[in-house]
Amino acid sequence: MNKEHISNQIIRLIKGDLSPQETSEILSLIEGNPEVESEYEAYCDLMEKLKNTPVYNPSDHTVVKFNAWLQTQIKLTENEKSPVLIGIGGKWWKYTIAASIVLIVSLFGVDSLFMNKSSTRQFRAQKDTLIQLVSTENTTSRIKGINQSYEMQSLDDEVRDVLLKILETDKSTNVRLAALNALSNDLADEKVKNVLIRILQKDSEPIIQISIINTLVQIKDSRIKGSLQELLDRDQVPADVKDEAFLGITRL
Amino acid sequence: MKYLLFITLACLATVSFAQKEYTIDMTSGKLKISEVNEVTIEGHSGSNVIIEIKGYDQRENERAQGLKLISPSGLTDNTGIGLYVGKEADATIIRTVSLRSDNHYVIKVPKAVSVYYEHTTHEGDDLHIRNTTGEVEVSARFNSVILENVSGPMAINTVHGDIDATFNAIDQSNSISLTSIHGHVDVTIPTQAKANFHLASEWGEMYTDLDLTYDNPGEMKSLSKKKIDAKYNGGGVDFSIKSNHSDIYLRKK
Repeated sequence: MNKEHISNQIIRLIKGDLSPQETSEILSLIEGNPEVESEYEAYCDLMEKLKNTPVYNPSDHTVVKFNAWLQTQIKLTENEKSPVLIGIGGKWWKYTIAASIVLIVSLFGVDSLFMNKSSTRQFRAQKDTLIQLVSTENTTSRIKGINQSYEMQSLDDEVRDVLLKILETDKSTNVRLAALNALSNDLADEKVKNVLIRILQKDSEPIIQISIINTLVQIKDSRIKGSLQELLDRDQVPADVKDEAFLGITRL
Repeated sequence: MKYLLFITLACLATVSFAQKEYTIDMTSGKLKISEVNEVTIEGHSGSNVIIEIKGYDQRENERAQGLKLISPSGLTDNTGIGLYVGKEADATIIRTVSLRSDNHYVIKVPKAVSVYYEHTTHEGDDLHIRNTTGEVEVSARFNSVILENVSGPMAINTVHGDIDATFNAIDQSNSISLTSIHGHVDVTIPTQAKANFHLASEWGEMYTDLDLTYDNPGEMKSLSKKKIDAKYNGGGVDFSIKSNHSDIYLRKK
């Protein structure tokens, strides 16, 4: 058995493609030859790593590009030996290339997975800090907690609900303003918009009402006109809030 | 005889001065000041909160002799200087009882006392805060707020007033936020301070001479975006500055 044939038989052994007699032959060769044993262990390691690597689905574009490249290589080797492939005979070079590609793609997949895990851990940590700090007695600590949301790429439902609750119920107007500022980046969310409109109608803090008017006017949603008109029609609404509501209507 | 008259007058002045000061035994915790007009809050190294009244109308109301001053909310003047001092669940509270608008109170607070000031009427006048190191929170409607030689942490808002703040340092323990709806916000900080600035002005302009992200830090320049997040000296505590209808000035000392 030459070296190339031994490599082929080792791979087939690992894949379970050998007959009992072939299996017996290659096993005795592995046991009796440290070099072959070492090669066998290397292939086993590689197969094990591939088996344990999470499946990564490359994009359609990548698949098309890879297939095109593979076809080119096949044509090249049919006509002449590619310099890259010198020394590798039979059809095993295809497996080798494919294995290498799978390995590279898998490593990217693993890397991507690690990055996702890392950003998930970071998001969780930021969320935990936010929730912990907004529960403290200290005003500027609560604002510090709310400011954690600026570090998040996007708000999830839990964070959004925490911020909405703070905006609606916190005893400090400064903390409520900080929550409103944090939510102002999330106005595409219908729930956020609806809660802001609700708070606007029932709140009695002029600075909160004025700030909500300014925030809602930014999104140029004409449905807000009705809420602003309601404020103008109510006697108990302070004049400066009414001024802002009027200005808001003109800007919508 | 002249000497006797002088000494008598001096004694009366001393007694009168002593009556225009009220002391609260307090070295830490929260001091809440509600609806008190014309206030200056000063940090000091003492171990008590000291309230001094200045510019007070010295004429005594003879008709009120033996009576207690009361307010529409039912509070009584238990300090002798037109204020009610009492305890709430989480704070010591100072509320106004006298409606005289010419009273000017200087409230000296120990460094570890945090201060909360709130005011909702036109009579508040400017609020001065200086030399404080504890947390300061202000929620005002018509007051302008002038901060001098402060370091934070703080959270200040006013609807119609300006905010002018000069920092001697920027405390890194907690956030700083300064918000005015209609007034300008003008902030001066030391060149070595570190902060993550969040600047926003919906209808105003923003000016700075700090080296944030711009090429020529020596010039004050207008920043056209409505919201800006920028680090100074590599970043630090979150420092929010917002004015909806007026301008923001951020400058170095």
